[in-house]
Parts: sequence; structure tokens; C-alpha cells
Amino acid sequence: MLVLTRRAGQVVKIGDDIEVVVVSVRGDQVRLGICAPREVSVVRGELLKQVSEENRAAAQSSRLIGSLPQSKEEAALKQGRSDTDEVSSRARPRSVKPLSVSAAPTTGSLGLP
Amino acid sequence: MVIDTFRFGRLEFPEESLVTLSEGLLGFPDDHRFVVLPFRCESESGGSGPSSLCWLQSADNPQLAFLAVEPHLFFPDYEIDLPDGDARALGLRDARQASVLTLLTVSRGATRNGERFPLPPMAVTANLAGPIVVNMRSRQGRQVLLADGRYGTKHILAEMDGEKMARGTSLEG
Repeated sequence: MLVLTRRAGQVVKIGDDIEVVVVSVRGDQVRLGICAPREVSVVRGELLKQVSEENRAAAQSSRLIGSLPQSKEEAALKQGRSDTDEVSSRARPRSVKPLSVSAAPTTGSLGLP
Repeated sequence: MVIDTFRFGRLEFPEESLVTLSEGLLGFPDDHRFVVLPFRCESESGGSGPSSLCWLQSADNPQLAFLAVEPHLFFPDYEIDLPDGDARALGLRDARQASVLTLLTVSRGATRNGERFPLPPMAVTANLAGPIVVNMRSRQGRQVLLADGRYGTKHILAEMDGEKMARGTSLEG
């Protein structure tokens, strides 16, 4: 990791088009100004961590919720029983109709650049 | 195509209905292909109906399924200012081509921002800071980070009676 010492008002350039300005330093707080092309994502490190942790929590917690109706054979299979009838029923997939991703009310509130 | 899922058993559906998250979700970088399934549960009366909630089931990992919802149904004022980089990566030029899903978490006695907003014993919260935006035409999607600080990762959607939640009966609607 490159470590630089900078004072308020001084600049760090990253590549041709990214500039980080030290706006002010007060106690243990540093205010930074970042000039970057709009397509470069600039987010606080904590946000990445928070969303990542929330995704994990969501995946874990979905197990608390009841599921689609399942056949007795499937339930038996989950419990680890596996006589031949149940295996053959397991081999037959259940046909499902996925939802179309087309929720209408979104349109007005999605701000595009 | 046919996939195995822990929750629903073996499922068959048209391959065209897959949604591809080429960068995965934060924390799940290896899961790219998902299918959006309706949320239907056996109620006490034995019937089941359509619901605004859905499952985002991984087509690659039988165990991975997220409860999700179209956020505007519960948060009508929710606004996403889609960053340029995300719009470009998704090939989105027109907001009408976009669909949004928000992942939900079921929390038990959790807190938000440390201790300031204690949640009820059982609550469903929506992660409005990290919505999944999908280009409906290409079926490519990505988890977008909203960095402006207006939204957090735990917005309360519903408070639940724990027993009903375990049976999944009180989420219908």
C-alpha cells in the first residue's frame, strides 16, 4: 500500500482522471474531496461491508420462513429417507413458472444519468 | 432447465427466465444465475394465493435463496439515483427497461445503527441501500450501492408474530 502524507488543500492524483483533495483535517477527521469520472464508483468502505453483511443475514434468515408446498416425498427426502419410490419422485422435477421481472411501479423513481 | 433447490426440491423452468448477476451479490461473488419464484405458502386453510413477495433462488447453489420484494410496493417514495457506472454495466438507457428487487432479512431482536432503533422481536427488513436492478430486456442485473446516505440496510417492512413467521403464513399479500 502506498502511504502519502498530505496537508489540507493538497491533492493526490490517481491515473489521468481521478483527483483526491484533502479538504480539511480536524482532530481525527479528514474531509476528502474526490473528483472522478461519473462511471467510477465511489462509496464509503463501510457501505460495502454493511450491504455484504446484510446479504449474508438475508440468506441465513430466509430459512426461518415457510416454503412452497412440497410433496410428502420431497419432505421425506429432506429428512434423509430414501427408499426407491421417493428417489423416483425426486427425479421428476416440478414445473414452475418464474415471475417476469417487470414490476411496473419502479419506472417513475429510477433516476437514470 | 432443471435445478435442484434445498427449499423447493427439483424445479423445471424455461432457461430464458434466468436473471444473470454477472458480479454476483456482495458477499456471494460466485452465484451468478438466479430465478425469481413466486412466494406461495400453504396457509392454514390449505389455499395459496399470489403475493408481492418472491424468492430469488440461485440456480447454481441449491441452498441459496433470498426473500425479495419490489420495493415500491412497500416504500412508495423510494428513489434510486442509478450511478452511471451501473447504468452502463447494465446497458440501461431507459428507466422503463429496469426492474428493481430489494432483498429482505428476517431479524430477531436485532438493532439498527447500534442501539438507537431496536427492532421488534421478529421483523422483516428491507435493504434499501443495496437494491438489485435488472435490465428486463437483457435479464442482466446487479446489486447497486446507493451511497448518498438516504437509505440504510434495515428498513422495517413488517413486524411479525414469530410463530406465524415460521409457518410463513403472515407474509401473504
